[in-house]
Amino acid sequence: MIAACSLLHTLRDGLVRMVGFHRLLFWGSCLAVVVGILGAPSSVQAQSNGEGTIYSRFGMGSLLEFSSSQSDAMGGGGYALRSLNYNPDANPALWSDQVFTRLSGSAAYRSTTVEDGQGNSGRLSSGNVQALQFNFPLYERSLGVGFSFQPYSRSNYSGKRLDSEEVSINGERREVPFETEFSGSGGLHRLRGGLGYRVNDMLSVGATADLLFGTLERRRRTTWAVAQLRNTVISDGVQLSGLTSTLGGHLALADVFAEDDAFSIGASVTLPANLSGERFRTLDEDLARDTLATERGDVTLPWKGRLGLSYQPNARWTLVVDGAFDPWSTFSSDFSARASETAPARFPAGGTETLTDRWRLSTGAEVVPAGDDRLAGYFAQAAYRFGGYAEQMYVRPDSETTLYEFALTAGISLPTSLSGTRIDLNTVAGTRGTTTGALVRDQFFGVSLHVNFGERWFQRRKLR
Amino acid sequence: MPISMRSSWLTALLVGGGLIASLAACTDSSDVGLGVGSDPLQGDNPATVDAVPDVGTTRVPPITGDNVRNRPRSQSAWRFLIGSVDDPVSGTGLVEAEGYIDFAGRSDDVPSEIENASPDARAAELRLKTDYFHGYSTESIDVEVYDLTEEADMDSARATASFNADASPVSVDTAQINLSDSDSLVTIRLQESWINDHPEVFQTGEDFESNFHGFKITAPSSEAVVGFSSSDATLRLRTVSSGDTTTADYSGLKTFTHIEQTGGGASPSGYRLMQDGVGTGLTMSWDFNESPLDTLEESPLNRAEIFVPNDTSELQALTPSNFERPQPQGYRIIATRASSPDVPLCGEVQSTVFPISDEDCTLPLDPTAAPRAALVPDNISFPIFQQSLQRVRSGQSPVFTTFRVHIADRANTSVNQATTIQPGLPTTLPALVPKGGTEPKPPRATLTVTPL
Repeated sequence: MIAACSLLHTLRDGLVRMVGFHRLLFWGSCLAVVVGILGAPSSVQAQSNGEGTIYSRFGMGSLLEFSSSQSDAMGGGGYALRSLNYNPDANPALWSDQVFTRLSGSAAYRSTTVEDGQGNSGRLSSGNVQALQFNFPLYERSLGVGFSFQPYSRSNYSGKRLDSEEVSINGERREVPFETEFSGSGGLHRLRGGLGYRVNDMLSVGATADLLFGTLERRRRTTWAVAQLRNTVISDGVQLSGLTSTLGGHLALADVFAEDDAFSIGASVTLPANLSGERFRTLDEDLARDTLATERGDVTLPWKGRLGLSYQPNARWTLVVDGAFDPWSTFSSDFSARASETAPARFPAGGTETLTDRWRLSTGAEVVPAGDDRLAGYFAQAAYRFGGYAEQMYVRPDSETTLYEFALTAGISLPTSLSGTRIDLNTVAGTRGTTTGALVRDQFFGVSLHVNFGERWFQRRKLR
Repeated sequence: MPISMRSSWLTALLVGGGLIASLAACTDSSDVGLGVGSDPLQGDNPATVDAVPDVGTTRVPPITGDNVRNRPRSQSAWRFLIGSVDDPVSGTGLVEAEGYIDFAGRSDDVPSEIENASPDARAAELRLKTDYFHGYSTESIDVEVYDLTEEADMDSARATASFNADASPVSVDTAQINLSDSDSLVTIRLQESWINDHPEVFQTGEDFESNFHGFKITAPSSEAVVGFSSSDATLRLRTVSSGDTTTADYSGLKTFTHIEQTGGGASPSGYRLMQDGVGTGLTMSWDFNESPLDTLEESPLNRAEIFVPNDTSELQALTPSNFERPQPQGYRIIATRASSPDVPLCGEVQSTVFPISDEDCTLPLDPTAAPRAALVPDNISFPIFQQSLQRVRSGQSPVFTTFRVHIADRANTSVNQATTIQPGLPTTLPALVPKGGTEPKPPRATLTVTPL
């Protein structure tokens, strides 16, 4: 509470001192965040986690990528984006630039409105921890260590269907309504640890070891309107775990297009991941859960390629352009097709033919009105970020229609009195899918809060 | 950096996270998107299926004997029957019932006025209350009362048992019961010499019970079977002196009904006949390897009921205007456990399923379903079928191999479920169970399942 009050006082003082352009940037960013919040529904019915889209039923669920709150507001790339205030997770080579020991936490809220070709709509909202990151320099600006824990994918959807069935109750037939709810939950998590090393003033490299693990579960819950009938829950799930690795490189160039500018190229490659696990089908839930069948198997996730460009013409502006490519068409699974009624449902849903190559293009900009001026007003030292992305989704539920996702991002990064610590508020608004055929279009709004805490730890101060 | 400052920012993180979490609780799911994909969300709807058993007939003479002192607390009443009835329902034949009754010894001495009275001033009579009538309407029925020659073990005796009695009746030649009385009390006078011939009636307690063996009561030429309440039966000694009447009563202790059937034959077309008294019942068995049960092995069970209908409308249609036939107020179902050693015990199926032998379990029924059906409610049927389906799925036998259904009359249908495991009151009533058709359907287990 003290911290919140302190932040409010700082904001108030800063607003009074703000000049016109800075104020415009500030209110524009705030407006984007507020629109995201107001886009959320107010009714509270159930709690869930994840993206909230029916498309998360396919493949490994919705893929969640988070590198840093800075890149999150700039379209979600930032593979070449160097910063003293963040340690981007997508490219371990960027971990070599560390000065502070850094702890970052992010939580996100997202509301998704889904619409089909007949104009029917539904809404699903959810919140989740976006990432926890911990980084520290072994040798300042030379060798850095990073750890992170964040969701890799998330299955989160819910749909209900109402019907009725003639049932015998005390020997008399009665029409009893029931509700069938289809829902998905769970997902894979990624625990990452690695090193970033600056080879020379231009070149940095990095590598990580990534542990992927988690459970994806699909449920069908039948709920009766009268107590004389027992409700049933049938679950199909798959529990997977495996290791992979990410290699990254970063090339930093100066004075490329203008004096004192900075141009960077960053790239990373995540190796294919072989995940082993068990597929299961169960009845009921919690302690009463009865396992009907299990089957062991392996899946192979494709490699991932990331390439980004970053350009800082001066201390005020930063521009990024990024691309990503995941050949999900090479995904393989040796879980057998469903052989009997008790066998778990097919994984992935619809088979591997529902997966296709994924690519993503994003771009974004950041402006810090004060540039390097440490004496400028508070909101002049804030960073204002905008971006957007276009993505060809890796799931193709009907095996024919390629789906795309488009979104705009924005955010504001508020400095604190602690050098190296910032509080960021980001928002995203976009659309995915199409109402062609039986498909649906999602419109989503989201907000996220990020605290990037940085301080010098483990380092002996030098006497001057 | 001061620690307090650092903790402030951690607090800010928690506050912010809490704000996000407070928003993260909204779902308004609909059916939008359920059809997305080549593998849409199309789980089958729940379905209700009737599993029709293999049905046969069985004949197990019912328990008609009773001892007030050994009667279960939940069994508040009993009756014994006399007479004969030729029910118009084909297949029932001529059913003849003979009643037996023994009395409890008095705790007090018989009043001296009776003991000292002259033999011609003393009288003995049986005072009975009717609580059952099955047959052609009549105002009175001739009855005969015989002394039993030896102590009869009537407790829990089955209807085929019989006990020796004197060849000559001890009731007066004109003894008859008048059924037109509104208070349902009937009196059967014994011969004047009976008290003199039975000095043991002046004994008390166990002495009386050891030396007095009871009566057999018959109504050889009747066209109806009459039932009397065991609890209300009384042997009364009486004397009148100077206009004052002195009485000594002996309350009923043991009763029994011997039932025989002659004739019989085919049951009405399209029906199976259950007939109480003679013990004709049904046997039912479900084959879990045949449709539809073989398709349900894996399906989650939402509800189950076992339903054995009695076509009361058809029975009513077969009732002449001058014929009275009450409806049975209950049934009894006994299930036989499979012989496999791993089959659960009765109480392991459901705590109220009661063992009556190593093999047999009696199932609680829904008492309110009578007379139109014997209904094993969901709380009993569900574990039976759920456990059976699970066992069959793993290659084991179902829990029960056979279910035997019999009429088991009750004082009324407001008894609780637990009392339906008790043997029923003696009757001679029939019930018609359809072999097929749509309403009422034949015996069946109605299962509601959610297909996988």
